[in-house]
Amino acid sequence: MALTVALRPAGDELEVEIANGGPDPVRFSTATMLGSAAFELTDGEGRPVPLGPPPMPPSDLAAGLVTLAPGEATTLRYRLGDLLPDGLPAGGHRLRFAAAAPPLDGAWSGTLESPWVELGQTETL
Amino acid sequence: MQLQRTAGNRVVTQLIARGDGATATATPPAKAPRLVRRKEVDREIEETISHAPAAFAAWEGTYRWRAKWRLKLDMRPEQAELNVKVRLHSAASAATKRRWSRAIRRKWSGKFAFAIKRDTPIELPDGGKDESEEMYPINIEIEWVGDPAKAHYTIAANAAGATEGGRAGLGGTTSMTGWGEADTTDVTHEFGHILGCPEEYFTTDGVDYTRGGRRQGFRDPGGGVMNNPAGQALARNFNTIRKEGAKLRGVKLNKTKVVPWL
Repeated sequence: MALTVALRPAGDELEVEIANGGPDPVRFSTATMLGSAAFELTDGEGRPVPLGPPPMPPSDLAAGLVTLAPGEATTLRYRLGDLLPDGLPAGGHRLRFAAAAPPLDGAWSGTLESPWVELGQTETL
Repeated sequence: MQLQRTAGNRVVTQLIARGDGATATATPPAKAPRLVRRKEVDREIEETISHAPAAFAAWEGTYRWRAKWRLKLDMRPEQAELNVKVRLHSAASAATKRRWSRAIRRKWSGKFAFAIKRDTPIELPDGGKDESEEMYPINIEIEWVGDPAKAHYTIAANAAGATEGGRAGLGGTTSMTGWGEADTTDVTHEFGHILGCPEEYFTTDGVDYTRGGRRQGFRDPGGGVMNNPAGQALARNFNTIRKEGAKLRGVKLNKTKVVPWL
């Protein structure tokens, strides 16, 4: 799979860069890459930590279609407060982007996962 | 019943029990209880979503948040109500906040009542039964506060279309605390989470909202607000309020119920 994902916390925002490192264009939908449904959080021991409630599922999966040319990237932006409305629990945590491009005609579908990143107490919500 | 809805609770039911129903001037109770009771509610809510269609598999999992609001039970006959006040802070414009408040009030407020059940229902002359000893309309209000430290939640205002690629809900709403400036529909669903409501789509906490696959399972026509944000609030959506109301009233949960009001 030619797509790579990087997650970058930036203050109270999260930037997810999806890049096409392959030789061919890739068309996929970001429609379901929404809020807490698109991330996983663990505590310092690696145990899953529940995020806040997910947003309503979208009615139109084609609304988020993007096409990345070879070497091209798109950046999805999220608010940490959307994932953790009551704030980050005490202690060290790790977060990763883990979402799926839904099956659509003529589009790539599959799971996209970023490497885990450390979240400390410095992230503000 | 109409008299009960407009003139109070125990006073009216006492009159009905006596069978005169002539006036609403009852003798005050010998022992004067505290008629206005308040408490701050901060209650953990958890939900588990399963059996989502393949395209929405990412929704499967366990989610957790807190229901936070001020609850006031006013048992004075003329002012009787169970009032839920949510203090919110947002940098949104006054006009946007007014639109959100109006949509939420229309969806949630004054539709149901918190009722204390009688031990023995009273037979009414028309053949019906009066099962409620006390009834309090459940009124929901939002107070917009300037100081985020005094808010139960801070709401981020998302410009419509600001989130690229169609990755936002209606009008820019992205979460329980990320509301679209152009949205007055999905915000009523997200507000339900603040009140303590779990989702009612796919399979949530073991309940199959697709009805065995006969429905899409979310945004279904006729679905309640926690399934379809365009839908109405349902009695079960007041369960957290009911639990806290029972504690505030000092009665067991099974002595209470939520009933339609208007």
